[in-house]
Amino acid sequence: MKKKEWNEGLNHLDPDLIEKHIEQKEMLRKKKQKSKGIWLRFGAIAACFLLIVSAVIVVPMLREDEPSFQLPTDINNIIWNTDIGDAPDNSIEVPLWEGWRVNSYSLYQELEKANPDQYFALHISKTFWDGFVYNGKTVAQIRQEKKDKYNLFEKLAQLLKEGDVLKYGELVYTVGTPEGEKWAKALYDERIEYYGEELLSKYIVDGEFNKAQVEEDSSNAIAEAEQLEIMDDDAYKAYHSSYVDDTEKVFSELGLCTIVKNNKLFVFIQKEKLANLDVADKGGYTLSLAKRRNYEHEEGDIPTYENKVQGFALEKIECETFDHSSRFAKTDAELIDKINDLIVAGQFDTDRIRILITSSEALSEDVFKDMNCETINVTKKYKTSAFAWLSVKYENLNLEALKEISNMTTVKTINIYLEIEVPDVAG
Amino acid sequence: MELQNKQTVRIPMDDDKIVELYWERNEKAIEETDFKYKKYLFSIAYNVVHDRLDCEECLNDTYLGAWNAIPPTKPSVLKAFLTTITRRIAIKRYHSNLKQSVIPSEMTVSLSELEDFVAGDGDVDSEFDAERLGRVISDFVRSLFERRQFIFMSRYYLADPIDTIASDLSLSRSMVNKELAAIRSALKEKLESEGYSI
Repeated sequence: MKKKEWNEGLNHLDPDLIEKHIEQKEMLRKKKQKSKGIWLRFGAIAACFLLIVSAVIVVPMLREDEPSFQLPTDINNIIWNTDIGDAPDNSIEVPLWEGWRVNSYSLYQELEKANPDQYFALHISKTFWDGFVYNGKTVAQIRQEKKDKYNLFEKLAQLLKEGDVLKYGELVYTVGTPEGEKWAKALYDERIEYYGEELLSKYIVDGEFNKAQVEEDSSNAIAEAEQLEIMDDDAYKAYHSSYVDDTEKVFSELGLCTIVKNNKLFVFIQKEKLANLDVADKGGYTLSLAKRRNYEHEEGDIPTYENKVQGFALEKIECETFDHSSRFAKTDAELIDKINDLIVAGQFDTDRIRILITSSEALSEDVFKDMNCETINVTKKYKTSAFAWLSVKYENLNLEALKEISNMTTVKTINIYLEIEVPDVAG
Repeated sequence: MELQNKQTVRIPMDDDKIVELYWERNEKAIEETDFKYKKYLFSIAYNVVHDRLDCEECLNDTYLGAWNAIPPTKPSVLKAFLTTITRRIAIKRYHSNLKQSVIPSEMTVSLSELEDFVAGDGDVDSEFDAERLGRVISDFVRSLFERRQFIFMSRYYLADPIDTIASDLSLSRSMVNKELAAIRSALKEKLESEGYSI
């Protein structure tokens, strides 16, 4: 392709891409300006004062290379979230700490026992966000609609099984159906109540059960529920983007050490200052401990595996996804894409993936010698299966070795996942 | 002490008001555009042509282009609209300057990064479909992660220097270069899959 042709092509780039880019540039520039210190320029001001007073007032110059953010103390002296694996146990009622909601009992305990001079790395998020409006609906509405669609799908799935009986109406519990089925009245009444007269009258008309319509509506209901799932996810992302800057402003104006990094708000603070912080609507925020990896990791600094390995036993391998697509891949290339996507999704929270292998016979650790594992845990065979848990750093994953393992006849399934839950709003 | 010389600060006009001036055919529109966007548009042009006089001419042509286009156009984001015009004019100037072997600009450097698949210096083929390529590149850009989108647009649309991109995103140069390498590799695949000869 010629350079002129390339540039001609670029001249026809979608205008909305250009607009988006311009707006992003402006936003980045504004953020950089906000983080610069306030200094006075040396110059005519000093000259004027020299005329009036005998001493020269020297003030620091505006430094172009002033670092925009500095941690309040050595990074190793900060309390970070070191949890791996389990999300906070929502069954435990965590008390307020000095009027603050905290997302886990372990954070509560850390705050209680911390020395006054210790710094915490916190995420501060808005507690209730069901009122956030996305595409004209509140999150609460989206979730209710989603729930209604799933409920409808479930009801229609049940109706497919029972509709041919229910079409006989009261005969079902009086004399029984021509096919010989008879129910107790209590059961019949319970099922009618479950479906509701309105739903039933749509699909059972004049003693005829419209199965085709039920199948169509059921299929539509699940498709709509899936769309609402996507909308819920998108709303979450939009909410997250919207609150981060606003919340950062609130806390930085209180004189706290704050930074937005990798689209998350970090606040570095000692417990006494946190306890005495006078902020409006304190109860509207939730505190959680930030992960050091969230802070240190540069987005994109992760490996990307190319589509060079072929011959995986694809029917055995499930890869965790966060985009509502199937966990099973249809092709080797698709599997490698899913692994790459998993690494991207987890990059801020962990530096490794987990692999769980189920096998019909116990596997020795030797089987995994080429997998470059950080940890290997194997079990003996229990009843019909043995298990092996591996954790592998992103950059050390040996896809050839994984392929060989997948093709072993004793290997039944392979699950590839992250060792953390999908990050929540609080990070 | 009271300062003797009070400087009045001129505040740039809102984009909506500037566009209105164009629609009213009020020549103040050009003046306001120049006051607000001269520096920015100059930097766009300079990345491409690397010559101050040429840049001034590009800017003048941009204002003329905007005057002729508005109306009937009513741009929703004036800055983006002007960027497009300036870039097109600068690119034309760039290609004509190439024949005269003037000092290579950032555009030259950014194009050289693509020489794996964007190499020839000749004129556009008569059958070349620029709009189609524009759509293919747009699809490609949309398929990138946000940060890579930003880097692609900065480097290959606006020909921003690597240092500027690194500074905008608070990244190291090496990280930006790494991202660019990944973008180029994916772009090459995309162009090949769309039937462009590489």
